Amino acid sequence: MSLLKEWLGDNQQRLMTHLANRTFKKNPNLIDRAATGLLKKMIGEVPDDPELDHPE
Amino acid sequence: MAKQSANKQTYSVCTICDIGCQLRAETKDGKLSRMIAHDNPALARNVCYKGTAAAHIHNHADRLTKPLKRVGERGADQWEEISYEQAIEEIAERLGKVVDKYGPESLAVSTSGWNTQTTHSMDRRFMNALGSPNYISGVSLCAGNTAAVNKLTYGWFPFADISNSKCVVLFGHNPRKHSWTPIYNMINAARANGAKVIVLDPRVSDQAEVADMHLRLRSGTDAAMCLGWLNVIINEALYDKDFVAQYTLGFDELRERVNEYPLERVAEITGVDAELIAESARLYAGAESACIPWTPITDMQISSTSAIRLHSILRALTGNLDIPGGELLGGFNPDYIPESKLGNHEMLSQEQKNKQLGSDTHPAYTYRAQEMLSEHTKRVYGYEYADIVMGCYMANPSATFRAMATEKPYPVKAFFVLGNNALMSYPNQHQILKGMMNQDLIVAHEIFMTPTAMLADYVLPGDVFSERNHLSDSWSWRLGLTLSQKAVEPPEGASSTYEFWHDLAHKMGFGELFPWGTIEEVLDYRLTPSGKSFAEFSAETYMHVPPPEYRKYRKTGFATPSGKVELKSSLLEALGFDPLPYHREGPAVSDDYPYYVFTGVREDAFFQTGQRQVKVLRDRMPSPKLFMHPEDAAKQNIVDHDWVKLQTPTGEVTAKVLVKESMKQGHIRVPHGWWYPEMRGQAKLAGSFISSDAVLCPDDPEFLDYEQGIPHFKGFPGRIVKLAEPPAGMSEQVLAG
Ligand code: SF4
Repeated sequence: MSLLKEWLGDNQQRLMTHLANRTFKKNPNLIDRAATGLLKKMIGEVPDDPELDHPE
Repeated sequence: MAKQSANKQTYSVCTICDIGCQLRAETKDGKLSRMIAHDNPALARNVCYKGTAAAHIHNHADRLTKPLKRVGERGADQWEEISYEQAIEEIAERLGKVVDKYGPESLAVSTSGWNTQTTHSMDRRFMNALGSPNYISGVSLCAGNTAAVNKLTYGWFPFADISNSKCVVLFGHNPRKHSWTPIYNMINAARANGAKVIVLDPRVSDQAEVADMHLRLRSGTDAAMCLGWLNVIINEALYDKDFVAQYTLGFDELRERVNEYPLERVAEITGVDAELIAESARLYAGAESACIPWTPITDMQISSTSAIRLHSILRALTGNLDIPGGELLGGFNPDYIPESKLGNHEMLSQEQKNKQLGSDTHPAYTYRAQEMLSEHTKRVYGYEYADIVMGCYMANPSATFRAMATEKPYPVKAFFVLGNNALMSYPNQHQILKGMMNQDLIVAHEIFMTPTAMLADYVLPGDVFSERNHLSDSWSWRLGLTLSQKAVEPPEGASSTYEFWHDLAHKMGFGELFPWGTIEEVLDYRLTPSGKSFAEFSAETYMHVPPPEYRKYRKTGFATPSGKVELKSSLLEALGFDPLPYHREGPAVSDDYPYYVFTGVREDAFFQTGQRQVKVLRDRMPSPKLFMHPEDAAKQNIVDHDWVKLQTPTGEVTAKVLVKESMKQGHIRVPHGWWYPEMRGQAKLAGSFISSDAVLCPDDPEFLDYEQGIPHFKGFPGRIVKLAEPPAGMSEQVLAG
C-alpha cells in the first residue's frame, strides 16, 4: 500500500472518531449538532423494533 | 438510607451479557421502568431483547435483598437473614481462621466480571494483599484465555475493526440480532461496505446462511484448518513480505511446520474439500484488510492455544495488525487507570505466585507465563501487567476445584464466588460440587439465589447495573470510555462487589489499600490522568473514544521478548512446550459414543446460566433443546420435542430435541447453563444436575489443551438415549415449550 493511501485511510478513521465524539456530547453546541445531523444522514433512521418489546 | 431518584432518563452500560451496549434507562418513582435503545443513531441498533428486559430482571420479586447465613446442612437452602455488618464481621473472622490454618493460598475466588462490572480489580487487590494467587474466572474459557495467548505472539489482545474491514472471518462465531448484537451490527456494516464474510462452522449458522463462503469443518479442528490456510498463504506467497521480513521471527520454522499440513491432510482432518480451503485462504489473504474477530469456539478446544496462536499468526502474516479494517492493538486508555494497575499484582510475592494452581502444568494464562512478558509490556505499553479482559493472571479452574476436593497439592478451604454460578460454569460439575462440599467457608455475592449460592455459608445480595455508576473501558480490550449512570438506588441490603472487597479489607486490617470510600471516589481516582472527575466526565459526554493510532509497532516494536511477532514462540519454548502451532485430535467417537458433542452454546434469551427465572425471557425459551441432524434423528427414531438423555462417559444431560437441517451430520449441539429456578426446594440444587452441560465434558489431564488446560468442549464423544416419558418434576411450561 502506498504511503499516501495509508495516510489517507488512517486519517479518515481519525476524522470519523472526532466526529463520533462530538455526537456523544450531552450539551451539544452548534458543531456537535451538525456532526449528529451528518451521522444521521450517513446511518439513516433506526426504526422501532417490536422484537425488543416484552408484552406480558 | 435509600434516597429516591426523581423521574429521569440516564445512560447505562448493560451487563446482562458480556458485550456492554450502552442503553437508556428510564425511571419512575425511584424504580427502573424501562431500558430502551440509545438515542445516538450510531448506537441505536446495539440492543437486544435481553437488554430491554432489564426492568424485569432488576425489579424481579426473587432478587436477593437481605444478607443470608446458612442454618441447615450445606446445600440444604435454609437461611437466616442477618445484617450486612454482621455478615462482613463473621466472614472476616472465618476467613482469618482458614488463612491461619492453611495459608493465604487456601482462598480461591471465582468471578464473572461481565456480571459484576464494577469490581475495579479489587478482588485481585484483596487477594494480592492477603497472599492468594488462586483467582479463577469464566473468562478462562472465553476471551480471557484468548487475550493471554494472543499476548504470547505479539504482546497484546487486538480488537477486530470489523465495520471497516473488507473480509471478516468467523470461526464458529455466530453473532445474531439478539446475541453479541453490536458485533452482528458491525458485520452487517462491513458487508454493506462490500466486505466478504467467511464462516467456518459445522452448522449452517445464521451467519453461515448469508456468508460468501461457508466451510463446514468438523467440530474442534480449527487449528488444522488454520494450518491449511497458512499452507496456501505461504506456499502461494500471499503473505505480506515486507511485514514478515521486518517484524516477525521464526518464519522459516513456521513454513516447515505448515508444510507438515498439506491440504489433503487438512481436508481429511477437517472434512472440508481441499479446493474450498485454498479458495477461502486466498480470499482472506487477498483482501485489502481482513479480520478474524475473537470467537468463543476456538477458545474451547484441545488445541486451543495453537488455534488461537494461528489466528494471531494469520493476522500478522497478512499484514492486518494495527491497520484500519484489521486488528487494533489499542493499549491502555491514556485517560483512565486500568484495572491491570488497580489489581496490585506487584504486591503478591514470588513465593505465592509460584503456588498458583495449574501453573506448573498449564501455565499459559497464569503468572508463570504472563510475567515473562512483564518488561516487554512495560517497554511498549508503559506498565508491566496487562490483564486484558481480566484473563491474564489466572489459576486453572480444573486444578483449583481438584485442590478444593482433594486438598492436593494443598488444601483450598475458602471459596468466594461473585456474580458467577461457578458450579455450572466450568467443566466437571461433579468435581466442583465435591470441592464445594469440602470447604470451611463459602461466600456468594449474587443478585438471585443460584445453585452455587445455595451451597454457600453466606449469601450477600449484589447490586445491578442500573443501581451504580461506572465508566467502562472494556477491560482494556477496546480504547473507548463508556458511561454508565446510576438510575435508581439498590435494595437496602445490597452491596456492589467494590463495597464488598473494600469492607472486608478494612475488617481484615489492610484497609489502607482501599482508601476510596465510594465507587465515585474510585472513578475519580481512575480518571486522574484525564484531569477530570467522574462528575465532570458524565456531565460532558456519555462516551469518549481516543482517535486511533495505527501501526504503533513501527516505533515501539511488539511487547514480546524479541520485540517482534513471534511466529515461533520463545515463551512457549522456554516453558517446555512446542513453540510452533500444531493440530491435536480430540477424543475419538466410537460405537458406544458415536456423536461429536459440542457444548457451551449461548442462546438468545439467556447469558450463561442466568435469567431462567425471568418470565419474559423464559417464555421465549422455556426448555433446553439439543439440536440433531434429521438423518441422525431418524436413525435414533427421534422426532422434534422428544425427550432424550445425552450421555458421555462423564455425565448425562436431559433435554428435548430439535431436528435441524442446519446441523452437521454426526454432531449434537448442547445449550449452555440450564437449571430450573422453579424447582427450588423440589429438586437437588434447583435441578442443576438435570440439564447442565457442565457435567458432560471430561477435564482429566489427557482431555485438556496442553498449554492452558482448556477442556475440549467442541467435539467430544457422546450418545443419545430416547426417553419413553418426560422427566419427572418438570413444570407445565417446560413440558409444553
Ligand atoms: S447484546 Fe443485549 S444483553 Fe448484551 S449488552 Fe447488548 S443489550 Fe445487553
